Amino acid sequence: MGYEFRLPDIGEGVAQGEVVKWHVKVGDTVQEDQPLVSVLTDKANVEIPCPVKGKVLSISAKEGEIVKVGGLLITFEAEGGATPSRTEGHGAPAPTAPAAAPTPAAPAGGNDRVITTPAIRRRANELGVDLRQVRGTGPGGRVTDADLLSFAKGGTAAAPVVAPVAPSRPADAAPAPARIPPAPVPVPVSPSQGPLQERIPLRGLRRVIAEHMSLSKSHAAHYTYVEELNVSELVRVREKAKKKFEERGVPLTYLAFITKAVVESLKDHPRVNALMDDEKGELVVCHYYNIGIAAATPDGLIVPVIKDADKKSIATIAKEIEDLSTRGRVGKLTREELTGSTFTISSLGALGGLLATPILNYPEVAILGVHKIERRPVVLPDGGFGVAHMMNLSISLDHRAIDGYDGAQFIASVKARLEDPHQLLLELK
Amino acid sequence: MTRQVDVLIIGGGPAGYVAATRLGQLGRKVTLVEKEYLGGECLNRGCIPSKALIHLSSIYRHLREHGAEMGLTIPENSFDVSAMQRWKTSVVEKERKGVEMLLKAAGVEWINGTAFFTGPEHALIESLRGKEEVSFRAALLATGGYHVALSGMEPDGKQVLTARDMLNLDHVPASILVLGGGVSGVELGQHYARLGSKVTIVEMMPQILPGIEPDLVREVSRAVEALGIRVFISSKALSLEKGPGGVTLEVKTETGTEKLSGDILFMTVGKRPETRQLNLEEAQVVVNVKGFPVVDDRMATSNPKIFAAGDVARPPMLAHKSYREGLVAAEAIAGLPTRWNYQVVPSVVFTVPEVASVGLTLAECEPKGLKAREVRFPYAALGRAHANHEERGFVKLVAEEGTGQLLGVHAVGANCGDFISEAALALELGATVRDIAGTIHPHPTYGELLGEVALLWLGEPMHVSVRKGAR
Repeated sequence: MGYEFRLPDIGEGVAQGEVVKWHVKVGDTVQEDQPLVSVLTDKANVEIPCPVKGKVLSISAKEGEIVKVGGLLITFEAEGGATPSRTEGHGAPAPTAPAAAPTPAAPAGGNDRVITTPAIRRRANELGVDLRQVRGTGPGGRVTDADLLSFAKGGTAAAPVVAPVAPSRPADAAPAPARIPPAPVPVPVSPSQGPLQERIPLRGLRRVIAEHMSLSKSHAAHYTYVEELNVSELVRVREKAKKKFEERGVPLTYLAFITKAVVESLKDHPRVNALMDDEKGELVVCHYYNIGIAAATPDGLIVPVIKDADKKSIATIAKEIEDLSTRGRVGKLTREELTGSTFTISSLGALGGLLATPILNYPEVAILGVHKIERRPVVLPDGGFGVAHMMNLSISLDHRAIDGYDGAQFIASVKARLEDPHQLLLELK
Repeated sequence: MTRQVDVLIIGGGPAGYVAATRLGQLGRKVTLVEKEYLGGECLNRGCIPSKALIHLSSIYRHLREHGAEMGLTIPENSFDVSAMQRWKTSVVEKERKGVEMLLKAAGVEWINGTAFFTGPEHALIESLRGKEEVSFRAALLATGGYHVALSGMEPDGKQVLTARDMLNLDHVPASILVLGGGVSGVELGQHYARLGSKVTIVEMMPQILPGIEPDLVREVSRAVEALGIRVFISSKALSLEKGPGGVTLEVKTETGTEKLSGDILFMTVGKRPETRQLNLEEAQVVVNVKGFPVVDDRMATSNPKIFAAGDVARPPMLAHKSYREGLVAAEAIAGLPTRWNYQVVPSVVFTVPEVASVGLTLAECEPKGLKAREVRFPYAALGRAHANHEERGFVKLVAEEGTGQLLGVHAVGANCGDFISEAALALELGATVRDIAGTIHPHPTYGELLGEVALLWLGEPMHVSVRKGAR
């Protein structure tokens, strides 16, 4: 009997993780604390260190496999003979909140026999349905063709299970209740060259993004509001200050100013800095300001979080954004750095076109899209024409929580701060 | 120069050629490398040739035994071993041609050679055309299994023989020692005993045909004894001596040691997955402790581009399981959402009497928390069995109490391998005993046994009487 190592409770209500990469293989001799496996939770890529010194006997979870907390990952032959009873995990990095995350019930032990036919099993495969979840209406609980089809249809319409939202956002794991994809895409083939399509499984971060975005779209009542800003003064202020900051090693980005303007405006409009608890039907207004900054990485989008942004200066915010996005690109962020935001900003930087319809970082109720700054012809107060630095902001809001008028008020307040950055500097902490 | 191939299949046996034809249907371009003959072990040195020979010796023996009574006699030794060999070879060649045609129709490139991996996406093919490095978009391991031998007793083609040698003998040896009382040991041991060889079977486990339910094996053991075959169970081979007059095997039996002699020794102690020359480590394919590549329900190995199917992938090493794994792997490679979700894999042993089994045995039900009950229906109560003078054997049916859900069917007796398919279908369909009993089985056939045993389980037997309280 070897030493069984199971997926540890990584904290914050994480119920499962996807094995992204094994750093050891069967037969390897391993040292305690050497990198063992990378596991992607719905929040972050977590590197789990090796719990013992010994030899790898077997690996139970393949790369790409989703393992529940408590699920067997790997079995070692521990040096000096570890007690077989020790099967818990240890040393998960950054186990944040003690979060009483109940381990999800193990798959019903024993008899999960499904009575049906081979034809229906095949069809279930095609529909991506786990037949154990389908209630059979035939004799003895037999799953009929009609049962499968109605499950598949109802499944798409039915609201998925929603995880409760608390201020600490134990979010969760929404263990994707029977995802029902539409009918399979036919694969056209050209007889000589093989398929004309390539199938790329949604794995790892891609899958997390896919699930999170669908969840958001299926819950929130999105609407988007676009405003145009004259940021000529902001450009001047930044140009002036830039050098000084750079000497101190801080790249003074517009994003830092925008973040600050957003935080100050959120204070004026607290309902925008909130999380939607769909289960309780409550809006959880947050009196702390954790701003998520969407960042592109080679694997996909991640959202590192500037915690307590209201207590930080523009310089500190600038520095943090730089640090988080650099480490984010190489997958070195901790779970904690990737969770707990109350409002999200998505900036496309110099690329950022005219307008966007950002998808909410559910369960947040607002997300701000930032577009590029460019010179545009404008009508001056004296009626003449001139050239100014202009920028658009697109904000998506959850209409269930915030009506159009309130959303417009919020963006007007952001606009005022960015158009008159001196005011912003006065609010500097 | 590295050539890019679409799908590389290593091995042209049941898993490999079926996968190749399915991939062809799905519009993929397959390069199949087979080191010997298309059809693999099954077609060339297993199922097919052995059945050709077993069929003949069974008819001979049946008529020798019962012919006088039935009015159709044949003289002793009225067979021609060379002619039987020619017949067997013609059958094999016909089948092999058939496979070749299938591959041709599917547009498969077939290379007679060997292949091994040089990386996770690369392999080296060696054939008469020389060496060729290829890169592949997907690969399928279908290399089958290899027969193991005890050390110091390695097959030599003359005195220590493999199953392949045994199927090619041009004479009937006067005496044969069979080391290994598993399926092929008993099948071929019986075959030669029917033709007049003095056969001795040595088996390490406490019964011949290990793994098969003892009550089924008992029927076979009776037939084995009736053929004059000596059987040593719970016995271990210690050493082998080869001399000009034959071989002597020293055996540790339950009671002591014994020296057994024979003209030849048939070595049939087991099979392992054939991964010896493949360089799997280079291909990043992880194997388990038994040497099988670890596969998922799409037959994908730890390298997502490499799949495995058939004997090399996992037990049981049965051709019909290999076919299906080949299909699953092919469809998975082609991107279809196929999974291995067969409920049962039936198995048949071609001894006389035949043994067939599908689903759970009664002994397997309890640990699963299933409350089950088993009944037996004898061949002796079946009209057709009498007509054919095949009264040995019985069919057992295992079903869940209360629901009547069919859980397993196990049989020993003539032609049971043919009607076991109906039980397999019933299990796949989740049929109840009432479903089987509610199906008319044509008379007079062996298939009726299934309808009869179902009625018996329900307490409504048609052709046996049940004493009150015996149900």
